[in-house]
Amino acid sequence: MKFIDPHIHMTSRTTNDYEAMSKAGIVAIIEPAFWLGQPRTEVGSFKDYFSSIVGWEAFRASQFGIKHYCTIGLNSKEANNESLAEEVMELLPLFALKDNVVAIGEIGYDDQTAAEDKYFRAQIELAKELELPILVHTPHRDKKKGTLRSMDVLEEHGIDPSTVIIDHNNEETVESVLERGYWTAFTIYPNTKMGSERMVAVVEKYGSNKIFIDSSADWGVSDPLSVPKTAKLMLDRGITSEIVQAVCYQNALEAYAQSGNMKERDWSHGVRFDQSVLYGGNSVLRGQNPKKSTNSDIVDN
Amino acid sequence: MRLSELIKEYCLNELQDEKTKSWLDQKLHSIKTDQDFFISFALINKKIPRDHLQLSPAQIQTIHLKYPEFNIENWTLDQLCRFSLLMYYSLLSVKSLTKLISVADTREQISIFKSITYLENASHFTPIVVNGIRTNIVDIFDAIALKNPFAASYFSQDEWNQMILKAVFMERPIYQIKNIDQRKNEKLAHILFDYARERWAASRRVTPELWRMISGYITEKLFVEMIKKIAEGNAPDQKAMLKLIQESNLDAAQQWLSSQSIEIEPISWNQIGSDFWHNNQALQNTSKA
Repeated sequence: MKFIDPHIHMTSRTTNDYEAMSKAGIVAIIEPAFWLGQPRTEVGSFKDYFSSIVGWEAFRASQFGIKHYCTIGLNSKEANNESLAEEVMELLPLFALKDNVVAIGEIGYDDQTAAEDKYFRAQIELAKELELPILVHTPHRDKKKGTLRSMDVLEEHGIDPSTVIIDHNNEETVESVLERGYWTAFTIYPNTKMGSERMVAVVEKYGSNKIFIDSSADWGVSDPLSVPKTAKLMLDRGITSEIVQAVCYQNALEAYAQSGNMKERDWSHGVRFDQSVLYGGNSVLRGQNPKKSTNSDIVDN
Repeated sequence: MRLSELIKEYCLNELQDEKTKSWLDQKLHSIKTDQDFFISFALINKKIPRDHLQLSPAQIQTIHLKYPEFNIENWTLDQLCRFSLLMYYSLLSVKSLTKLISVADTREQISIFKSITYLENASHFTPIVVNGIRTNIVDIFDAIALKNPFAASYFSQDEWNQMILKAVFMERPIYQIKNIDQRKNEKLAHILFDYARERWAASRRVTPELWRMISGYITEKLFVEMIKKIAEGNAPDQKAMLKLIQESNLDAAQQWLSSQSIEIEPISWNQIGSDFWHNNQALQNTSKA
């Protein structure tokens, strides 16, 4: 079975992870722009981070046969540093138009402050202007209220819920998010978010319509294989492979394909870079067999 | 007709959609600020197809006659439109191009590095290109190093040598580097010979194209070392070493050659490189312990 992990922070992960993910059947990933575990203090740090997820990280992933996309946004935690936030807002349009960007995100609320609200709204408007989907991060604390408020604000700005992914849901939020027509994502992350067992119960209860899962693996204790592992558990528990496929691949693809930048053919014949452009499609294209390409593409230094 | 006007004409001809065509035409003549330039450059992703150009033989001939260095066949439509934007933006400075690269994705960087050679005052951008060579992304490296005359025209000897050594190290097709023979130098020959020694010490092979850079600078001492390796090399290595020996004025080399009863088929360095590249002989795979 093929998988998409539509939320994972690969800049924090090792090549061992990439190898394991590829082996487990993950063919495409989305890296939402987020914070780095501590607040940045200079706009240049944002610029280099964005630059890395639209370029270098995508190249790194391609070495392992994995197609890498990202989302661009100012996260809610760092929106609270207003003078910095203003500078980051100026950068966003420069990066949001890039080739592998599939949404504005992850944006939304953390402490639900006035500053967070201001930049959430500003970025909703940016997504509208650039015709990109929106990835919403729902808060860890006061989650239910924060989730409802996020949806209210999106609707106030006239956003179509079918172009929005609400992430990090749980049993308390799932019903209202589904009801209002949003893509409903669940993060399988040890300790702080959903566990695999609970996810199986959610799928048993709500089915697969508009629901998908991700790992949100990052610099914390987390598991880049939580999508394939949860898929296995679902199959073991008798959930049909059609449903598992929808929750672990197809729905995420449909949600983010709305950006126009994510297509199955990006990975269905092997992931590769633009060699064809430079060499007129001759037989030396690497990446046809991604495992082999690992040797020759990475610079030993 | 200036190159910029010719390229603009080709871009507009290729664009099917009237709205896109007028968007580009208007942007080429109206951009007055860096921010507008950066956004327009990025918008190419969304607006312009990535197709290869559908040029008539006459169109290709026109541009070849006027600008023989410019190989339009190597450009896709989105790249060519980006090239136009770069040529038409009258405020393009080293500072603004540096900023553009710092916010560019891989595909954009490839277009930029392919274009720089043909900009007015191209030499002003040399530090940007030298820095570009430090990339680890193969396609960006290739956009600078291969089929691009910039490095040969503007790099200092050390910069050139660093690029060639890195190209050898990254196993890029050396024969696709423009003006490679004109910029051969003794220092590079010795750097590459040192590199070969390191590879041999690790029981690894070197690309046969390496000998192209050393040809003309072989000393007796190096020759003795090299000749020990000729027997254990495979066919492409042997062809390349024999060619170097043939080209050498060194007595020892000529004596060795006449003592051997080998028939040497004439072959060009480009042919040696292209044969090797197309057989895709992964150097590391054959010898990595």
